[in-house]
Amino acid sequence: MKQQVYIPVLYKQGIKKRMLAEVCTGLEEEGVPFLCLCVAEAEEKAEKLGRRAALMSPLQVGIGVDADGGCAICHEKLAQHPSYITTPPGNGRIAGQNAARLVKGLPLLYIRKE
Amino acid sequence: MASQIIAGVDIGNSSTEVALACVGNGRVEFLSQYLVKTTGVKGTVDNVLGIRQALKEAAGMAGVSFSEIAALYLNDAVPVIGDLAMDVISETVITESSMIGHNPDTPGGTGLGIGTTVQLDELPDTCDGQDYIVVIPEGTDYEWAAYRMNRACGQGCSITGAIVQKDDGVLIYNRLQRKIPIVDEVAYIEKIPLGKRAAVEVALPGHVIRTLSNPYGLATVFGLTPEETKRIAPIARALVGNRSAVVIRTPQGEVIERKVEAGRITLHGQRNKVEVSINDGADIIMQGMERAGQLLDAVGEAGTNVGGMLNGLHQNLADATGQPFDAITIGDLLAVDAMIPVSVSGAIAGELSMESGVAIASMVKTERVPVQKVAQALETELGIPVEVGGVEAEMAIRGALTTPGTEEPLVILDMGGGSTDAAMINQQGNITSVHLAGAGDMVTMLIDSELALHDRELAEKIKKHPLGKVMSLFHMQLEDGTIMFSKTPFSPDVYGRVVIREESELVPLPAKLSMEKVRETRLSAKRRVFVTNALRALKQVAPSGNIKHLAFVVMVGGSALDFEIPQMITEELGKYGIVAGFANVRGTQGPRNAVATGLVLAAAQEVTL
Repeated sequence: MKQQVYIPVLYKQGIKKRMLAEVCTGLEEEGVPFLCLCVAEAEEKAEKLGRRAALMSPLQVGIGVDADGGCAICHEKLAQHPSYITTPPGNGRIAGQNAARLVKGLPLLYIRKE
Repeated sequence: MASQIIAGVDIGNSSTEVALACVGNGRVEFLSQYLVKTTGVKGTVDNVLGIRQALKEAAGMAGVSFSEIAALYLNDAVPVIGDLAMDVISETVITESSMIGHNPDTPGGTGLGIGTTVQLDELPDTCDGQDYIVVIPEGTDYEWAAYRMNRACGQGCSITGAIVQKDDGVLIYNRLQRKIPIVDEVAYIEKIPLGKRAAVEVALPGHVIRTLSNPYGLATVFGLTPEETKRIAPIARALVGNRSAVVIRTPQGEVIERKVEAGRITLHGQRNKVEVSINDGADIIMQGMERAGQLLDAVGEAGTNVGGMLNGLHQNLADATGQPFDAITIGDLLAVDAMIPVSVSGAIAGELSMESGVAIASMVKTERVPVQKVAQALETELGIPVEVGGVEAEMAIRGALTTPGTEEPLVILDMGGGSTDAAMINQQGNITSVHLAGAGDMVTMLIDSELALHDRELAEKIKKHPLGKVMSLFHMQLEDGTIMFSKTPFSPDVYGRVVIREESELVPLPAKLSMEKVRETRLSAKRRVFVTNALRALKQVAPSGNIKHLAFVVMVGGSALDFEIPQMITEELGKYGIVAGFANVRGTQGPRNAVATGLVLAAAQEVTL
């Protein structure tokens, strides 16, 4: 499994397709491979999902997506810290891009305040 | 005679410094010192507020009460005020074309596409023998855009490139059956003229475009005559170094040409009247200054950029000093070549082109600064007798001479925010001094402009602190290439960015700036202002005008605290065999507090005698 590189995206069953697609879009635009995995268990907090994703990630970075579309980006090296970046619902694309940019070592995008 | 506590107060352009000392019985014991930002314009009653605060703090540090201070000694501030101005002398003007030249992080595809611009919605689903460049505005979903383009292609329509408003380049590219170059993140896509011939070029990652940045490449693409090629050349120049670009031909000439008249400047000097053209650049202007001799006034040609610039300086200085406009004469002038970002007319993604320009610092000698008024206001406000002490240059030398390892004859170089001053004391104790325009504030202006920051405070921070680049969660590369490890992870707002390393925090810079660029700009701005001015100042105070006759140069003032300016000057003056370094006033204060210390020492002499 570790031979392939990808960013795992863990999401809760029943999430709106559109929200997940947004995250994937962001990852695709940055050109980093990803793998979406559905989690059946009851842990629904994005942070917990993100932490699990980071631990299984060959790239050390993982994304957890909440039922409402909020995202938590976690890093394997920051196991004791809260998630490195959290993005509120409706910013899935930026979350995806930022996870990819975290892997690439590029400056992260700021969420535009309306 | 019993000892008493006295204070020296130095009001500078940007900071006010005090030194508190116990004097008596032929001894001077310094108790404390303090520095605050000067409140109001130097030499006005507004200064009292800052002085009061500084004294209070100094007294607190020394453990004496405010009322114990027996006398205040104020410097007779140098009556010079400076101002800065900057303007372009060239401008990129684009006629008969529009262009997009920028570096989106993730454009789509690679190669060169030539065709006619068309809105996505109006893309024909047939083969009409035309090649198309598709324009995709913000509201369009990338799936739909790709579907629409694939459908048209399937019907025989030829699409050769695309211009996208959102950051969708890669997404659309991935979904296309026929691959084309795509430029994305084009802010003002609605400005793109439709139905016009255009070329889209995207280079491979790590490469730069080659066709559209070459005037003959453009001529080939658009079939231009030699005359037209000449006119389109500025576009090629503006696109050099980009990873992606679009050029659109609009032969009707929607962009009107505008010529900049840089103008000439007349230097009225003591020796000569010299006229120089701004177009010749800063070096020629400064050579003109030398030929003119001690400047009496400088006038710019009316109706030109430089005319406006010098008029503005006159006006600002008149406002600051409260003297009539006609009474202001420019006493010194420092011209420095500068790059000025100008938004390109005819550009669509908000591009800036770096135009060459000139920055000018100027200085006027005013009537004597009304220090007496400040002294009176201080006396009534604080209830402490205030005396206006000696001439600033003399006091600064006195203070600087407390630096270990110095002796007369000595030159001090006072590098402040507004002006660079030099004073020389010879073995007989005679003092000559000069005041030159251009110092720290000019460096800040150059950094601000050349990095297109539009943020003076950020530019000021760049000037004062070294840089780093955050490479990962835990390590940062420093300017000299060394890697610094951090025990705590760097926060997301600085991740991957170039940062200013302030003492306690990291200030992120805009993502487009590279560490090399920022560092290069910072160093060159400092060199252009301070090294130039150091040499100019020393030439003027040195006996017989020969710098080589000087032995000791001591740097004081705020800019002598800078982490690299003193080294630059030490290095430069080393070439002339001069011992130059920043002061260490009283062996403890570094380049600070020279004037305040000098005031105390001068006063102590009187008290003791």
